[in-house]
Amino acid sequence: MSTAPRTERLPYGVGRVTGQWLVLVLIALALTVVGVVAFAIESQQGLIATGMRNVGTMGGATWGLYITFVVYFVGVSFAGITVAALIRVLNWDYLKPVARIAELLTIISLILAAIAIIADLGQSLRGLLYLPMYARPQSPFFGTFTLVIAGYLFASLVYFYLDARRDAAACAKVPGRLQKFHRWWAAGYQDTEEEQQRHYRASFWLAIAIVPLLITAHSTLGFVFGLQVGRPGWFSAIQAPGFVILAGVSGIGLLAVIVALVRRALGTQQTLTLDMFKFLGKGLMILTLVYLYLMAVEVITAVYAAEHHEQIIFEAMLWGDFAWQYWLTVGSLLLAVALLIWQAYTGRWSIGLIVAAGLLVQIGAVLKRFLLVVPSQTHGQLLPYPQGTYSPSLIEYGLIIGLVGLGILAFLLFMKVFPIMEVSQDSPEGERT
Amino acid sequence: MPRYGMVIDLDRCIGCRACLEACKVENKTPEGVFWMHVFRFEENTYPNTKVWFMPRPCMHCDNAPCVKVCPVGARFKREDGIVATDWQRCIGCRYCEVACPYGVNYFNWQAPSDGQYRDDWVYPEDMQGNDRPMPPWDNPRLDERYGEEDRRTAGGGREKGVIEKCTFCTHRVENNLVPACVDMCPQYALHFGDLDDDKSVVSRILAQKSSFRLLEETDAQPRVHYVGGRAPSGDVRSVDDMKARI
Amino acid sequence: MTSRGALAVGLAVIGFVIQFVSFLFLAAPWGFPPSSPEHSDPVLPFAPLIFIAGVMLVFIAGILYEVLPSRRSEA
Repeated sequence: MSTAPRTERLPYGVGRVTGQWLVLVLIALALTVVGVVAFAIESQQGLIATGMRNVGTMGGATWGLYITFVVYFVGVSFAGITVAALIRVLNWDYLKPVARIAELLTIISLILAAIAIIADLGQSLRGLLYLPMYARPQSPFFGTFTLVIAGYLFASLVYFYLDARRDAAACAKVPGRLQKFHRWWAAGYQDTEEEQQRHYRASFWLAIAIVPLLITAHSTLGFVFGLQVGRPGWFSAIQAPGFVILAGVSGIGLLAVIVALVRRALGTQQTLTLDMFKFLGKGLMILTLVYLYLMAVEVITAVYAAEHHEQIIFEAMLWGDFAWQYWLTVGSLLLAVALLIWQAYTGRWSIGLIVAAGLLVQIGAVLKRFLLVVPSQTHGQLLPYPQGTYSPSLIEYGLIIGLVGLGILAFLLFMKVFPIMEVSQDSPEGERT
Repeated sequence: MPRYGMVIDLDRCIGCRACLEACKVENKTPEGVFWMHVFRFEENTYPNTKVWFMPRPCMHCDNAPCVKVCPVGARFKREDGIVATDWQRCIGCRYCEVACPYGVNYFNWQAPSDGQYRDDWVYPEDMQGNDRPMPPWDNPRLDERYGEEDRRTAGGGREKGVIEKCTFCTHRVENNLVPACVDMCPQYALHFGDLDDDKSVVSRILAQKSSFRLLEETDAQPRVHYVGGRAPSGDVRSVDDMKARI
Repeated sequence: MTSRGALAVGLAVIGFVIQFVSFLFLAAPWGFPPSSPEHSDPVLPFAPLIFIAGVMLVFIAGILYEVLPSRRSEA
């Protein structure tokens, strides 16, 4: 029997409230309140409270920071389910301890993406009713809310639930206020050999089902932009693969950061080893390199032979109105890659540097999404409208801060009701005797 | 079923913006919103400078990108070819706006104000009835519904958080009138009619003059044809810094 | 195949069939370019919800496969 469930206390600080944790919760709660206030003001006044305005004669961008972060959050969700599915399909057992953190990251970020979409709608409540009622599969947006929000989120929840039943059963043996919850989660799980094999088989097929869903989901989000022939800078076959890759970059990067934080907070240096970070770092390095390659291809095509309006957009990005965002994106991605390659070259990996790379790619990922969404609207009008401008308003920033706070809050709360990492790590053989 | 279309004669347009004004009054569009917009272009340099005007309504495309992308079917193609917006169906995602190559969609960023037009309109006694001059907020035709599902298509300035755009004045067209912009043009630069009817004014003009449509390369197949000029090329500069921001 | 396995596979297949049918036949009629108001409405209201239910059913099959308590002894 493993040692953790035998003790009277639940593992990884579950069920025990500490002062430090309370402070963090209060900070997250304060951030969330900022978002709630922003959303309330926006609902009351309408989207006039944002910095978005009509394209064309009103000289603005009609999609702004919200859509940027919808794409970002959906991108971040990439990490969880990929890691979980790869662990299962390719038998990367040494990555197992990060699996639950990754799955949780997927679930939370997808919920945040859904809220960001709702905040972006002019008629939010109507959207909640009419999307399930009338949605047309002919619209590229259909995939975003069926596959990404509903399918992908649901699949992740199912995987998450089934994967954690064994731990729930272990936790349910400990008496306490959470026992009922853990018993419900375990749903009669006995940890018999038959059940283990059944989970082994089910999770394999779920993983097989989730991987194509993952590619489709990120691609559909790419198609939302990539299929618009009237929008120079968007209309490109590179959008869909680019979305998948950048999703991986931001997802793996953020996962490395969160795993490092959990490691620090719970003092689990033995289970969350450097090898694990090394693996995440290498994955991040490869994906970032692939993405930089895609960016280079995009720019070369646009500078060498693009149609007139597309050239204007790329000029605005390379040395125009959006230059600082563009070069900050390139700089942060390059620096992250340099950090990772240096570590791979010397063979001396450090968690600090991997986390730094993970944070750097977040900057790149957010700004690149901004550069995808905005310049094509302000500078990409096919008719000779004057160029527009867009700068997010405080309400928009507030709402995004609130979403981030909500994500942190959800993470912190979950950590106290369920072990954030796999508890029962010993072999099934030892378990049975 | 007619196939409605518009023909705009650029040689005749003098840039007076009567169409723009007519549209605003007829449809009660909110501030900063121009369903009909008139570009003023400057081309070349002295002594070859040319200044010309180009009205831009909604193109009511046959292969409309906005209809294709609308996630809930609020933007749809009517049987007579008019691209209409059901503002009661619209969820305000603004996808149509980013999909449209022509930039004709306008979102209601705030609740449309009531005081934009004078509200002390008094009907003379003898003008009660169908032929009375109607203020835009009191035009019963704007509340007429379309099709079996009673879709709302006409008029603007309805509520916050929905998309509105040029309707080709469906409420007028259904009652055998031409759109307000066409009606009000002092230069007869705008023409409206059935493209399938050989005797209609639009068919006759298109048969006589060479015409073009804007941004054919996007394959939107617009139903607004231009005659007597050419499409704005890359050298054309827009004179007005028209950022009618709200 | 055990009856448990058969149930799971069956549910997943039903889920995929529901997705296929609702996507192609119950949602808004296909046709490019959309030329009439018909293309703006689903054939069956809430067809998108049926599609989502189909996606979910595939994964619910996984839950049932694992969670159903085994009453009979399975070979």
